[in-house]
Amino acid sequence: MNPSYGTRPVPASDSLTGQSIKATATFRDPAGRVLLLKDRVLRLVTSQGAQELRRFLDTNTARELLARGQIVQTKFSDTEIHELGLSVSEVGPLPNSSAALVVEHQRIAPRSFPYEWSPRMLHAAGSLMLDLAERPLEENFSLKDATPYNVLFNGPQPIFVDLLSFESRDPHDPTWLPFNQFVRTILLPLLMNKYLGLRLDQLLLAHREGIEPAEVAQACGLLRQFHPLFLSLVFFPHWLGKKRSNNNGSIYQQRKLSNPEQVRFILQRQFRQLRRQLDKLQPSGRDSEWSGYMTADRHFSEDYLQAKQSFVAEALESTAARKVLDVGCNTGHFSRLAAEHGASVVAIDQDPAVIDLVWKQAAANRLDILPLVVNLARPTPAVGWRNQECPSFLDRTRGEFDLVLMLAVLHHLLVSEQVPLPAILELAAELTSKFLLIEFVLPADPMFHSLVRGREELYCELTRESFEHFANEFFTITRAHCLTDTRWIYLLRKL
Amino acid sequence: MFVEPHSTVLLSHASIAFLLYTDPGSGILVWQLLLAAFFGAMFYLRKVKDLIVRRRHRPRAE
Repeated sequence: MNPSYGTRPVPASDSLTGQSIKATATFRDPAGRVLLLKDRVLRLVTSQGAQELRRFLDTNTARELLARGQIVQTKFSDTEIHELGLSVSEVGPLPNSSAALVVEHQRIAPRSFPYEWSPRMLHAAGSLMLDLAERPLEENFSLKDATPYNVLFNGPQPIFVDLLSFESRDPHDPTWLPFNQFVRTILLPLLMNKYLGLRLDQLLLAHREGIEPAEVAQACGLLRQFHPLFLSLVFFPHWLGKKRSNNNGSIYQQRKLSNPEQVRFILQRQFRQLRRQLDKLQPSGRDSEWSGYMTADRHFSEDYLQAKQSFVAEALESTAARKVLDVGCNTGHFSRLAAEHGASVVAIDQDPAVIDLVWKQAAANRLDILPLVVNLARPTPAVGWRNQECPSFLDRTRGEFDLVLMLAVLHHLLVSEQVPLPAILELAAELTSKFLLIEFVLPADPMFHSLVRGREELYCELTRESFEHFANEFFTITRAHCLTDTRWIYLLRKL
Repeated sequence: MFVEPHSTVLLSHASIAFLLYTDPGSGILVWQLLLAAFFGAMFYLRKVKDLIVRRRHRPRAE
């Protein structure tokens, strides 16, 4: 019997065969390959990789990290690779099957990627990676890479999923090689976000390996480079990079010191330096146009909010929804309500400032909410090699929810994004497996009116009757309630 | 050495930046090596400091 690592055991491995492969999550690491089955996550590991993984999982540090939920729960499976019936066309070249092993991980769903995180979430992921790099030093392990793609969010908690990144370290080598990657993928994007106001999705969708100091130097101008943080993260690295443009490869030669105590001291100091810089880049939680939306008196009356909240609470009870998607979640009022009713919630909004708030509150109150910066009208595309490395938001979430909430968001999609009503309802029917809870806003509503800006004639046929007509194409109306003269809320069941 | 046009999405105002080809991240690595050398020297300086402090606090023989 193979050992299971972690407090929550991953499922027994006797029914692995016969499940179809949904996607291969990684292919870059020569030591292994991750396969996503319908409900399970398998990793095919070379015998050498498996040996290293077992050694790491047997350390005290790994046991502590598993107990805290900081690394993914893992089990060595009894299944042989050939029993899985995988073909090269499905998953690409496999590790030598006679020597490779199958490892099963706890499934974290849905997967999210750094360009969908708010600044505080990237900060938390960076903090976790520094912990994971530093803590196993005493037991002669460390991280061999520091890309945020190795971190997922389980609710609001970051969790490190690429256990093959832990490797035995040479006790005489004072260089932490992923230093460079950590600076480019965590510190520099946070720096540009905090000081230059650039959104993380702008930065990270286009730069898988992060930002170069030269790019920051160009964007920030010379004067700003004399700010202490810019000096160490931008100015000196940029200047040193230019100075040694006639590279002879000497900097990549491995350096060794005879004294392991000195090596540990140097590494710990480097981690402390990175930690200090990360702390200084703690996002300040700036306000946005939408961050005060729920509390602004001009928007909603107390009666309206009360009636809406009662309807949503009743719907959560009656549907017993376990997986909820909150579209246009704003500051997460209804996401929290759903989480308090025991649902696992994915809360999406296009505004990073409100997602930052939702994440902060969910993390502080340990609520099962995964907030993501996603605009349903322009959802995250598939990116990476062959557009298969990181699937689109819709491909990751289609049909994954029992209940989709679309509260005070329909008119934004209709007017600001110019998406026709049937298309919105069709997408909602793809996302939910059972229910849709939607707020319908008539064109006479003041908020609707403020969005239309003189194009009222485009929406003259938008009535409750037309809404219900289109809704009936994909759903049956379970319940409806009038919130105000111009707003109705509906609970719909998918046909 | 050659010059490579390097288009960037993030630099909305400077739409095309021409950067001399440099080894990506090599400046960060050099900076890291300098830091490591500094911390390496600090390790011995701390040893010397500890030695001096210990000597100062050692009771003098009669």
